Amino acid sequence: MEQERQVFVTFGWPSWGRRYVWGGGAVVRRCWIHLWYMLAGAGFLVGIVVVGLSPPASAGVVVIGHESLTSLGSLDKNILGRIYTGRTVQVAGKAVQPVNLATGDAIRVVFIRETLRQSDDDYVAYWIVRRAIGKGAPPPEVNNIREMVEFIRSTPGAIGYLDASQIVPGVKVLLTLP
Amino acid sequence: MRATSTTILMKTVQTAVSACLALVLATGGHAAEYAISGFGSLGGAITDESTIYQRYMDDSGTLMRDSLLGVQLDAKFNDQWGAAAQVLIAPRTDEDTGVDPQCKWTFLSYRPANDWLFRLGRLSLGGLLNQQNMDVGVSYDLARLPNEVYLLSSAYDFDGMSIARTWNANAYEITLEGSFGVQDRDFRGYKNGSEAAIYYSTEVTGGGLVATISDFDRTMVRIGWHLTEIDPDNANGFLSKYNFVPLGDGRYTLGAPDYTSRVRVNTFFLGARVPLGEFLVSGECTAVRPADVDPAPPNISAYISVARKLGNWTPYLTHARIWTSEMDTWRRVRGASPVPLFGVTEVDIDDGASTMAIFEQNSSMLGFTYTFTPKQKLKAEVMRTHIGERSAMFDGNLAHEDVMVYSLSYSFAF
Repeated sequence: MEQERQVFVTFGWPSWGRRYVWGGGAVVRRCWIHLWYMLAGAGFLVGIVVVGLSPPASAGVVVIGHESLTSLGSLDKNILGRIYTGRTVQVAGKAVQPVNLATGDAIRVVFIRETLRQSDDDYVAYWIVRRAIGKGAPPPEVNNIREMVEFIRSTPGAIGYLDASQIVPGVKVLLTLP
Repeated sequence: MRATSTTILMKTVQTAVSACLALVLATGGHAAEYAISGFGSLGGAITDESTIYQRYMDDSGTLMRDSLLGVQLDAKFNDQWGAAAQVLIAPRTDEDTGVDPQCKWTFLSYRPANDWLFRLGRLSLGGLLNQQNMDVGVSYDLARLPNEVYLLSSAYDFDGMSIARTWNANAYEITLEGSFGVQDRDFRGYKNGSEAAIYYSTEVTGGGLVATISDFDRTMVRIGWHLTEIDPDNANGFLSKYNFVPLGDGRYTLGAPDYTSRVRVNTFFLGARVPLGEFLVSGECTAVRPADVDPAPPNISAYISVARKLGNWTPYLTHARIWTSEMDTWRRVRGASPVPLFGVTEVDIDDGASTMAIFEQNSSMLGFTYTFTPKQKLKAEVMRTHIGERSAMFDGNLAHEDVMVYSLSYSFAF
């Protein structure tokens, strides 16, 4: 006995009333394929992969500094913004040296957004102009948190940032950003 | 005898290098921090007119108008002292052919506190919003800064000093910058009768005050004033006044002109860049007021530009205008009758009229920038320039005509 082989594909929301025959009605085996379900499943899988590849949920960004920065007084977002845009080079009479993670780093993106309300791209563009008008070079960049911590430990006046879950001894916590 | 630009360049570099070495020694041998960066643009432009526009552009196309390459060295000797040097490879400023290296920035900086900045060396005195960064194409979205306004921008690279004081508020800062310096500069003119460009070698002494209000984002308002004194190198000095000899029947010819040993120019700037909703609106105007020289009557220029960022695309629309406020002398020169017996030929009259800095034109630009990254931009623009009675930006006697300019450029920084 010949088996029915018919492929049906549904488009849109699953509904018995919205089925369209695909394959010219060839009937060997009846197979219902709900395209919408397939897409939903694929989206679910993609979501799992993306979440799996993303960095762990941030506990917030912590601004850290060299241990000599004990008497900075209040350090707020405005002052941090000035420091990281080259407009402030001293705080409470002490020279400060900001350091950044590399462009595109997730923690850097959060830090710049929280302190300057800018995107990383806008921040890079800002420094292109500032450098071009002869008002200094952007803060030096390090490749990862380990280098950031080393730089801050070894550079008087250095200020940087890291994820709150990555705090290590030997640096002073200056401010916690939400 | 006038020092050549190469000599000036060498002296500036030598002075800066000597000062840097002295500072390195003075800092007790602490290692200085250096950072090298660069920028450039490769731009092509073509017009629908055979008459050359802005030195290079005509209907055969050119890469010279919008192409250059620059390298910058920033050094930090200690918390207060630093230095910067910027060298450009760009079209020559003393003739129409070839490129050469040009020293734009070479200065020592001293910043004793947040609010003060002292700089000594070769500086670009700011006045226009993009004057100091105009060579860095990735730092703005326009394919070409409106030449109606930026025509005078290169006249402010001085060897001298500047002092800047900044006042900070929460959301913005105010900077007042005073500067003073000298430069050797070649002013270009075009003799239409002789069909040749000429360069007047001069020594320019100048200074000014510029006040800027800016926020952390894109808002900037700037107002400024520069006073410059131009001292021509040639023995006669600058032609200051045309004299006319009546011939009867209302006809006249050119007489022996008067010359002056120096020309004083007041220049006033006003500019603003303000985000308005999703749009970024920029506008600037300048008033250039030379004192009593017929070949360079006062002029006023302005532009307004509206841009909107749509993802990586930034389309923009700009309108610019420049006009000379006193054109009567130019009209009289043009209307003079040749009298070979007096040594006044048709070519002399044409040369005399065409070398006058007379501008009556406006341009509308429609373009876009595609931003690959903040350090890479592709720009395209269509510009329509309408010439009124005369525009000295064209090497020829175009009048009451429209000229289309098509531009494509790629700008980068590293």
